[in-house]
Amino acid sequence: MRTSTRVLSVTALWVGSFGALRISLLAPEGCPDVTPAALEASAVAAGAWIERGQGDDGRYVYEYHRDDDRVVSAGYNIVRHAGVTMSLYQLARAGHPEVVGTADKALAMMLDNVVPAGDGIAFVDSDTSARLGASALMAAALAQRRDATGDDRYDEDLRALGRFLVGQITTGGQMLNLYDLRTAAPSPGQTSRYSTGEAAWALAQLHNFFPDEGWDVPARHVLDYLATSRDEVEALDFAPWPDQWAAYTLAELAPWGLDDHHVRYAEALSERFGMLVRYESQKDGWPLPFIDPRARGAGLGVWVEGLGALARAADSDDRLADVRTALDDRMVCGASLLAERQPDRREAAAWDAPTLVEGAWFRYDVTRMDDQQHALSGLLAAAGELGPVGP
Amino acid sequence: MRSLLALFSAVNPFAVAVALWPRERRTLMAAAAAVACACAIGSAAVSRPVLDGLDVTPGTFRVAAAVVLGIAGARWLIVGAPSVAAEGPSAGAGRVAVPLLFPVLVTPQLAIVSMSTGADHGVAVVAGGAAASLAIAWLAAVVSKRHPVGWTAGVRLAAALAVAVALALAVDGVKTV
Repeated sequence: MRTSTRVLSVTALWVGSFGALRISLLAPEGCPDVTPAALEASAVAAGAWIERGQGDDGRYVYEYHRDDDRVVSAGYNIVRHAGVTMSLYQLARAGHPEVVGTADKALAMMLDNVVPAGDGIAFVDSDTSARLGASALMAAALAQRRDATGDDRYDEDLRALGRFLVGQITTGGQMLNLYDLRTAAPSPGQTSRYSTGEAAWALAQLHNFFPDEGWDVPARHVLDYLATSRDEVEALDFAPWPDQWAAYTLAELAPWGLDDHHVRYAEALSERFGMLVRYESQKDGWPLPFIDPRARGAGLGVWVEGLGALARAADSDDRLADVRTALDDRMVCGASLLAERQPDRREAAAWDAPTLVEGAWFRYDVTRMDDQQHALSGLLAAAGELGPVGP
Repeated sequence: MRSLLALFSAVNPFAVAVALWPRERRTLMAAAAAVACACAIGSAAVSRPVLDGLDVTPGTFRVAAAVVLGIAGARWLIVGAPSVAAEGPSAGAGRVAVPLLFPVLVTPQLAIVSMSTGADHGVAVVAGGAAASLAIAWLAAVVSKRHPVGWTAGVRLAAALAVAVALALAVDGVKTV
């Protein structure tokens, strides 16, 4: 090969390699500059969307398609209803008590739909079965409400929900997802990748409010299962499954002391959430968003929630000190992306129903109420507003 | 240790020896190795500003370095190291440039591995690792060699090491918070 040809081929190799990397693996990680106040304002806007969509029966707008101005209520999910209500109480905890009225209206709907189940009560939408997640997130909502308001009027309901959750635990800390109301017994064989963590978090919050009642035993039992064997037993690929509810549980129990396997699990979750946010932050430029669309508000919100909870756990446990700064960096990056992608009033005005667009996160012109729930919670975590509950 | 192995496999002294078969002049090879080492150290020294300028975190950059190193390793495994000894001038500074520096010693994989290692572990690690690897490459290029079989086997052994190190770097990069 002639020298000039060699120089040209080497130049082409270098330029081509860099170019290929720049539009793929080395795409810029865009993390807009944002202040904690702006993050909180974004969370407030999400809360306002939830409030505007609430009906007289306490339910929220479930799903909205802005391209054809269509509200979808079919398949209204009570687990998500409880989760959205929980996030409103988190907003109240963060210094926005004006949303308590809306959340209490949604809570009233839940209280109207509890039935005796196991040793306690369960929140249901069926005569035949009770889902673990609905009761777990209702309990979480009551715990966040108690912390936000100091009002203890629902403590017995909280304990009764907790007793139902405990009854769903099997040997090894696994939790059954369904309770059969006809046979008055847990339904064997069915688990949920979401509900186990939700229940663990609810039990951990119960422990923080009532530390002398032994709620830490079931909470730690389930957390042990999540940390050591859940991914394998339930065949979840690419362990650890990015479970922000487990992260919340770690944060709740960290002040009481974590075991070594909990710390290893927290580190693994940190890596998983961190990777997800780093990749998401690369989707602002061509061509990544066209190959892999941006995450839903719920997806990105969940990752930021997880990072925020793990950051709180790291505040309480020196063994996580090595990842503390990185957790903050990734959490704020993810939250800044959420704030940037949220339509404001001006953008919303271009659509048929601006009040159902402003403050919500859309993908393919569709938003669902849990997009706002998880984004709201993540934004509050990144603004430094959330932490373990307790007296 | 992994950083040193990454630098060693990015240089691949066996591939250097085969590319410059049968042997290269000591002084020219020494000059080229010194310049290549300076390039590696320079890449490490500017790694942080470069990463900041590109808006990427060290973990993300580590994954990119792993891919480049892995591709180079796979290429060595599949096609070996083609000889370029006949290319360029036969002596002088021109030969240091082509073929010694380009395409043999200063390669995309050495540059990006040096930059990634510099960002993660600092310039001193890169200086030590690159100097040692390039010293071995110098020795491999200048010694008398007769039978290529052992050397081509060495190319593939170092290539397999490159692929293994690349996998480890990729996993580590992906798992970085």
